[in-house]
Amino acid sequence: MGRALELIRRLETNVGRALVGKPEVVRLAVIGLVARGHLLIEDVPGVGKTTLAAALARSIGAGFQRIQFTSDMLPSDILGVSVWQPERSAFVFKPGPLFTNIVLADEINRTTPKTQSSLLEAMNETQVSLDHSTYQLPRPFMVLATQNPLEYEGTHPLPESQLDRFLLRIRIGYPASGDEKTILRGTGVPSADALVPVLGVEEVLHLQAEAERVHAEEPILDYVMTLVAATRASPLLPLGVSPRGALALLRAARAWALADGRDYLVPDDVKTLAVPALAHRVLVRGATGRPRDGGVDAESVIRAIAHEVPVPR
Amino acid sequence: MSHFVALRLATLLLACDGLAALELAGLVSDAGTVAAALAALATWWNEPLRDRVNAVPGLARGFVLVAALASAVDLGYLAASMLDGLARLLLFLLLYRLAMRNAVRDLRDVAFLAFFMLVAAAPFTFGVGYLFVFLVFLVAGTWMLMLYHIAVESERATARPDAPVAGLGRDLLGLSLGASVATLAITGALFFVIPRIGQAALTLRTHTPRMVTGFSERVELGSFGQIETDGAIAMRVRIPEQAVGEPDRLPGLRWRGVALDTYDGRAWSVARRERSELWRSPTGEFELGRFQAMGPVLIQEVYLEPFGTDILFAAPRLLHLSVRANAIVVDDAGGVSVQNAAARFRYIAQSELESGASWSGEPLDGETRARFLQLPPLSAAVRALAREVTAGTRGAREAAAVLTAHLSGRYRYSLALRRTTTLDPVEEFLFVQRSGNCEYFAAALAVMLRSLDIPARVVNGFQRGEWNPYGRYFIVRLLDAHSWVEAYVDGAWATFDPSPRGSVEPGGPPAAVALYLDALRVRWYRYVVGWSLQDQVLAAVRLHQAALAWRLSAPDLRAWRALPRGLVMLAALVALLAVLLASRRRGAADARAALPTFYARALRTLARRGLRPGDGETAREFAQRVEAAVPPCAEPLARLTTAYEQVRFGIRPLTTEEATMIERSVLELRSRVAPFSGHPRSAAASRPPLQ
Repeated sequence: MGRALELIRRLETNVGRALVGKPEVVRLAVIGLVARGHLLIEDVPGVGKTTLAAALARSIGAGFQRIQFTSDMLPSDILGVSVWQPERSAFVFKPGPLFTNIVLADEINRTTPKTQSSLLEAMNETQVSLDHSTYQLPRPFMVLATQNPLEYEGTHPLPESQLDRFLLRIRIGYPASGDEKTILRGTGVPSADALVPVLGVEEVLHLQAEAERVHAEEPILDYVMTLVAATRASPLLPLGVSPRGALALLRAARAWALADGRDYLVPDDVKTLAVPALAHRVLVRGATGRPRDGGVDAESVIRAIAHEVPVPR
Repeated sequence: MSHFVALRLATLLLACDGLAALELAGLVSDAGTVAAALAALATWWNEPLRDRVNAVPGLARGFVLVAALASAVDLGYLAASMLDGLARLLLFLLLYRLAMRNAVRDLRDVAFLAFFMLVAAAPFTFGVGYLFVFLVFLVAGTWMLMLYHIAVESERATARPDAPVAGLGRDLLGLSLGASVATLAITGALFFVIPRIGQAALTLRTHTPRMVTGFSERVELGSFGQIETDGAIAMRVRIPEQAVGEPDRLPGLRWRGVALDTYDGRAWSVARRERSELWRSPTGEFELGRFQAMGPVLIQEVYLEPFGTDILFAAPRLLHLSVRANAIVVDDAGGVSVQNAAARFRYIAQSELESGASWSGEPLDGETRARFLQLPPLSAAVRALAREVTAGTRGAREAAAVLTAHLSGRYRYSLALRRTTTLDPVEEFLFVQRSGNCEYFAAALAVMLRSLDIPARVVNGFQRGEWNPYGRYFIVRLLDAHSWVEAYVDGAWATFDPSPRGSVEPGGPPAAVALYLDALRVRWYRYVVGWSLQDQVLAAVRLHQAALAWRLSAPDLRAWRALPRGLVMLAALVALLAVLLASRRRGAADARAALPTFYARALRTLARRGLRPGDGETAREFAQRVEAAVPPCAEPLARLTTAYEQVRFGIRPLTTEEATMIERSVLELRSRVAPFSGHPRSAAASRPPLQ
């Protein structure tokens, strides 16, 4: 318990060195890792999506691959391909960049749905099926995807089934003016690639196991159920949260509690993570996706629901 | 129903119950009780009056001052006893509190006053009615206490005092009934088990309810006339065993009291009584005579009402007495009395009944014989009548029987006593009036017997009374007071009852319900009021015997051993598991069910500042809001919030240090909130005016 907290703090500090002034975002990214989840980092260009993903990946002493998604990409560019080896007279599987611990899928919505969907099985079952063979992916396995919501030109929005695979969707937001100045000054802010790993694979696995053991009291489970049921009942949401979403919320909350130094869940854990864990899983009626246009977006609906659902006492 | 209305209702019920207790004890008259009850009920609608009285400064205070003076005068000079005065004072305070109530606290005072009323009434009510009054008080009191707690708590916690409380109706009634039953069961068990070492006697009220003439050392002829119309119960005589057949078929059963030997022409008296104090034997009983094997032995359990006599009544020829006293006084004429018989008295007597068989005993010695032959100067007509009637009889017994028959056959029984001549009363009865009550018959017979040289004495006591088959006892009333004659014939004292009344059944067929209620009253007295150490020992012995008998008669236990051992073990294991599971589940549910008390207290404290967590607000968010609103509270509340989360959602229980820290934090929070509680809004919330 104490060790887990120390490991998490170490990781957070390391990532925080690259992403200045965003400790809550760093925390979300870290708990995504601890909760065995995949992260979707979505924001306008230039706020540090890739920096965050790269910093997290680099902070762990594990395999790391970066895939820059483009519209002409094929599934085999990610998963790998079987090639004919004349000397052995057989097809030999040549693993793609996915076969590693941390995958940074940059600008994932730039590629076609066909290629996007090739990630489905990998993200859900940590395995790849190809040519009648199934190949296990290494553990831990985590996909850090970034996407740009405003840039619609030449992008393919992720299908709901794909979105549901991501544990959390993180928005970074613009930095505070003081922090921005620090970034501009550039001194003391290392680039993500310059970070040294602070956690080994074993330690990550240990953290993930610890998070599974966080105790959830009956009222907390009821609270999660009530929240999820409220999204299904809301007139603003034609598609509510799936049971997988409820599970994801609970898993993320467990990791959050661990990062807070507790071995039990409190309602705050669930409430805090409601937006990052649920907002990308719902459809909003008549949403423009852009609050600034005067429309309602999923995050504000989820936030309102979390505000209204009675918390257990 | 809001809890304030329910609280007022419960309080009114308590007040009426207290009134009923006073009425039962006779401390307040019937009319006074009705008036006070109506006044108490009227206070339900008296707000306008109260407000008007309160509007005039000093009026209420002046009223109380006048009442206090009146009460002082009443206590000092007017009241028949101190307790009567105190009862009136209690009554006034109760009505005043009900009428002028301003806050919930006043209702609590009313409950206390009602309780004092019950306490004041307790020493004077032996009736079973007090049990009902007490039960009502127990239930209504529990109810009222709960409601009072709710009212006070909600007063502190919320600004809306009239908000309905969930589960107020049937749940609360059921809960208070349950609590009352449990209380009664526990106190009842304690009552029957804790050793009783003696009777408590409160002598605040010293006057005895009634003084009865007719059982003193000098009895004027005609003095029974007053009590022979009084239907009050003098005593109850229970016949515990059926050894003598149905007791109501026993002939000539009477309860003998005092024997009088001297007649001075106007009154019977005891001239020279030789009294001796008899001390209790080592077994705690009094032996008074030897069994002569002349008649059946009757055991009587007597409950003597305190009607102003110290005589112990029993069937003639008393052999044995068992009474809670260190010493009794026995006179040479067979009368038994105790020193202090102010309270209700219970004793067990064994008597050898007369069978009418002649039996030659020793003749009286000269001095004693002279004492029972004493006569005042007597007119010759009386002697002549006696001789005329007994002419031709042989022996004293026959003469006495003939005289008795003559009197009961030729003379009329009457309670209308009047004197028209200046003659000797006996002479007037025999020759002028030819009617009178039992005293005249007895006096006439005794005088005539003495004139014939047969030693005789007048005995005062009671007739048998009315048989109550439900409780197996005789109800003896004051109007059963009776007078008869004992004559020394054939070497023993024999009873002769000349009055015609002695042979007729008194009264018509008694109402079964009244008899049943009276039997209930006796049981209450026997098993509750008169429950003694001896009874406890006896009950314990009986229980022991019953247990022994049961054990002996339960050889079936061995059959259990015939069952397969595996099956028995399995059953035991299942039972153990069920118990464990049930207790565990209940324990878990108890621990998790409710908000931890300390956090609830903290929330109440903050609610006084108007800070309440919203529905969708978590404890931490609330703590942050409080920090913004009342910065000094932030630190203790943060500690409390963490502890609350740990207790409510965590696995590890709190350590002692943490518990201490929590207590300190709650106090700290309270003290930091307190300086602001003078805020007008919170002041109004903390003590709302009562409707």
